[in-house]
Amino acid sequence: MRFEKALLQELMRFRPAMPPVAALLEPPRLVGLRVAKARKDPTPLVVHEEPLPPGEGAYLPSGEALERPVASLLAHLGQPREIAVVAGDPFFRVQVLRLPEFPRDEEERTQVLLWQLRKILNAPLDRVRLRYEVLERSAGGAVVLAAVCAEEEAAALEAAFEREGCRVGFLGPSTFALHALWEAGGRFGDEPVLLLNHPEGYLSFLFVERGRPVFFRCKDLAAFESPETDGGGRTAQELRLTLAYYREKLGGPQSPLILLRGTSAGRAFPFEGAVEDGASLRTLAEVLPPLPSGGSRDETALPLFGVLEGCP
Amino acid sequence: MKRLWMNFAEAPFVNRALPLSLLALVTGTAVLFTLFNAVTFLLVGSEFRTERKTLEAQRRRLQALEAQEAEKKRLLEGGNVAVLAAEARFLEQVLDAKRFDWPRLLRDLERIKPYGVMLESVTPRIGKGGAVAIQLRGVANPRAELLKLEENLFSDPRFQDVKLEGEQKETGSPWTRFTLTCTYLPEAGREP
Repeated sequence: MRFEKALLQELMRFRPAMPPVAALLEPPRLVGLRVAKARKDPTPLVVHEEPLPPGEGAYLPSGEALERPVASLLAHLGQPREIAVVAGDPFFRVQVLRLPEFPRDEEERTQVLLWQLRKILNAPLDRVRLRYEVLERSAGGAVVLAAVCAEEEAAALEAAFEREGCRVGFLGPSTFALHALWEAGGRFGDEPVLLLNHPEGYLSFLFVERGRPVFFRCKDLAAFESPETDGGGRTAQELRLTLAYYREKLGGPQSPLILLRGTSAGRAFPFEGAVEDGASLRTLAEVLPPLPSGGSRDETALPLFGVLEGCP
Repeated sequence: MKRLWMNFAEAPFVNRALPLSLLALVTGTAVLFTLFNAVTFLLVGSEFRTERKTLEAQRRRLQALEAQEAEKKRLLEGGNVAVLAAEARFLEQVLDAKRFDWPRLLRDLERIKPYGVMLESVTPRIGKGGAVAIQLRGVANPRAELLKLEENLFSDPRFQDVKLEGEQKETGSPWTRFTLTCTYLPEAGREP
């Protein structure tokens, strides 16, 4: 078992095989995308949407409410045998941790990270899947991007696809798929960037400096009134607060480049009032280069392009 | 800079090209070696079998020879070496005695024997290096003839270490009985 794990770790260091099919689970919709070829030709061949009800007490639904739309989506995508799945950020808990001491032993690392996450998130993390990336190393310490998701929910999600004969080989958060998409073209320069992911249901902020995340925050908006009814006031306030925190606590610049991903072009755009003068706010769909076919990427499926184009 | 990539899947996608290439390499190598073995077997198999039979026969012969050698060694070790050595010595003496040139000795004795000496017995004993110890018994009349014999022996290089072992005047007879020893070197003083 230990040998298999070590072998898997070694193989993970090389570029993984990626199928040309991906699915995005962001209630109230489930989006599927099949492209011509992962990494090389992101021309969309099939884009399909299924309604996906929100979960009860969890971000994603379970049982029949999840399995039925998954089965339908896979049927539209041509019954692939492997798929990459992107879930909305509230499915995960992500934190950038600055640790003065970072042990070498993997078991100790896991314990340290879980302890830090428990402390910050103020939530029990008993049965979770933990993943982490070391962003920066200093003498003895490290800056680590750590993330967890509930083991039970992740297993249920994989089982829903598995029931249709489709293996889930990638499961990741939506905003980090956008990060991969932006990073794929080597587009991160010295200028700090705020990736603002605002589909229906949540709002995520990912501050990136020289390609490395420095701060991440996800706000589940299910409890708030919809932007259409409150005029976007709540989300604009969240943006102002987060930018202020970034500037004051993390010493960020006054006006990072803000790249926005929404869900539909016709929706209200509530951030312009919150952005200070001089700041640049642009949508990801318009700044990304066009597809080989000449068209632009569907903003709803943008994280899926991130996985299929931006996988290492 | 390493790309950021967080994957929560239980069985993540991995690079298949690398293990498949390794598998293909191993399989290809195994197939190549199998083919090589098969071709080698077909081409040199009969020769190999012949050589193996020859080798087997030689091995059996070697075993038989070793068994024979062991048997002979056992026989040699089982025999009485002292008796064998004595027999060998005796045989050597017999052979040396058989090789002794009696006519030459008699011719040499005749040449040095004075008229008044009669030899009764000549007993040669073959020594190492061809030297022959000779005992001469006889009678001389008058006694001066014995002295003459002794002098002749001294003057002849073929006779060395001349010793008059004993002499006895027979009562009521003019004859003197004597015993004389010397070493006879048949090849000494001859023309090459």
